[in-house]
Amino acid sequence: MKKENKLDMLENTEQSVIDRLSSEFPPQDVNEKELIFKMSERKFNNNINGLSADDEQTVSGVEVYKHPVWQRVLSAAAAIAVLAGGITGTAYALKHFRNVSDTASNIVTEDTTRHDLKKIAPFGDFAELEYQLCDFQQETMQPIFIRDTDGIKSVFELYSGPIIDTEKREKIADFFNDFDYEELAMDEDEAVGIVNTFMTDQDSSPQVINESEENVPQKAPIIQSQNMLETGSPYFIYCRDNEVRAIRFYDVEQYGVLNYTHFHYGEKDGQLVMTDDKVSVEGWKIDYDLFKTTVEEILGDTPAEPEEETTTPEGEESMTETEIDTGSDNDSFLTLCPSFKDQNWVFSDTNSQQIIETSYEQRENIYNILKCSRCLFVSESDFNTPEILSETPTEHITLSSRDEESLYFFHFSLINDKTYAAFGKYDTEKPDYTDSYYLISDDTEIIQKIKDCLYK
Amino acid sequence: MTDQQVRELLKSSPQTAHRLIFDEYYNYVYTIVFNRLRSFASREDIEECISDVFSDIFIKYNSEGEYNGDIKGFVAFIAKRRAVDTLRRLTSRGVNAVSIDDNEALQLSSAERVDELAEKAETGHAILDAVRSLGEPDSTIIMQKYYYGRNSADIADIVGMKPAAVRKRLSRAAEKLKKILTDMGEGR
Repeated sequence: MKKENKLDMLENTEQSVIDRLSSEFPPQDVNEKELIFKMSERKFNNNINGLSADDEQTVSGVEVYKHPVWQRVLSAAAAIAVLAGGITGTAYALKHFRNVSDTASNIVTEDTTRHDLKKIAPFGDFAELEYQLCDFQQETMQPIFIRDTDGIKSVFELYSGPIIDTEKREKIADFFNDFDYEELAMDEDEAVGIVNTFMTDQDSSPQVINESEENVPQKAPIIQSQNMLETGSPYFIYCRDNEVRAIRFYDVEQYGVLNYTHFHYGEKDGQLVMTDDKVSVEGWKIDYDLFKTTVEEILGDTPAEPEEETTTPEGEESMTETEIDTGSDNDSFLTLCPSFKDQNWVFSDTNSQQIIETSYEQRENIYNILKCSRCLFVSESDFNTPEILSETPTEHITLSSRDEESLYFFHFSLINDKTYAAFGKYDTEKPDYTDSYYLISDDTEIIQKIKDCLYK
Repeated sequence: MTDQQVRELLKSSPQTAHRLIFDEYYNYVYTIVFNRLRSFASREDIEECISDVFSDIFIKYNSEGEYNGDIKGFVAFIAKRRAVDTLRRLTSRGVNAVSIDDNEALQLSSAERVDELAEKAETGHAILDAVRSLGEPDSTIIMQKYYYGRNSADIADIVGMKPAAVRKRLSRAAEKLKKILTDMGEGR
């Protein structure tokens, strides 16, 4: 761009030339356009919430802390911390993530005339606040530092997303309000069993929750953020006037947990930080499947938001509701492996039958191809390949890579004229394995393009 | 969609309204900002600036009708102002102050000269005509490469070709354009 050329003369030109540029030669990069729209919305939301542009610029430069995995998803960890509280009675987790119901009761008392007449969910009436459906876009995620965990820097990942329209919010609220919630305080043995089972699933070296306050932070259950964040049930966030409310539900096998997190934040030393003394986290026992399917049905029963429409491929009708509502797109596909260009990917050359290393240029070209393709999330599984991918592909290519901890692969296959992409990560130490499957909706030649990059 | 309909939509579904406004004016704003910052700012700075423009538009163009009038002119005004702000911010360290007592001050001229602007506009239209005469997809390839600074892989996706094919067409089209512009220069 910096190299001088004749078209430099078009720069800083007169309005009539700009008008022609705009209409005859527009920028045309769809991904860049979507990125800018998200940035615009985030800035608009921040502005109406009273955060200045300067605050936001400072936040973008925030130092990245290396947290234990569970701390990266405070709300998720907190859901289990409530369980831990049930186990230990006076445990650290309860002390720090205690059930403070004043926030929810505040909401209930805001409009007594309405609430006196109808049953309201313990976390308030979902219809009354403009909850957003979290889009899990890392680009627009803002970290909020939570200060109430002694000596440990925890962070709440504040995602944004489209505001759910009033009609859908009312339907979801009716469902939430009608449900009979059960407090999570339970029999100690039962709670220990549930938490240990959950921890065993998530961590190869499960820790027993200890009543010792000092030990609890390190022994908190580990929750894989990839699993919980990118493929779980819908996650609702409300963020206005420096106030955050987050609602999501988890499946802890025996039953589900609805987690409600609420706190206020402000700006300090260039970082967003919680301003409350304690983060309020509450949890209730729920029917996970019922909640997940009902909410997904409501969210999916009318035409999607425009933002979603742009990433919805033609083959949508063949997908299940779960698949559509996961709302994955190009960004989520590439964020599975953010260091793609810097990893040493290898592939098997079908001609020479040799394993060949890719060059940086090849990786960059492949990255650009993937970046511009439209992807629809199909499923995530542990060792089980989705049924639709059990057929023999007419064309395929696999890239694999490894570092000290993990093995990675990207596998692309063409089946019935549809291109599927799979990303897998195998942790060599735990062992732990996850893979995600996507349908590349707009480009049936993507495998050929990747091969062109590799074989040229 | 009329101005009134957009304002109604802003009340019921602000994000849908924002999306409509964004889709309608994205190319226009992008072109204005890019045209001003192209040589001074990184792509990230340009994207930041464009998002600032739309954030401003979303705030000022609201359902209460705070702004009334020609929305395209309003959009252009905000885009130009934001682009200039960004340019000032990026180039502030490079600006040299000149004392009015200095002899150099006598040589300073107005930044805008009408005759130069008119000539520049004429040249701009001529260049665009020359690019347009290449036909598609060459005109798009040339503009995306040499004006917007995109790489062959990105352009390949835009025009639906392979990167290698884009590179081939690019080199031929560039030669052709060079000849057209040279002939045009000689003809003047």
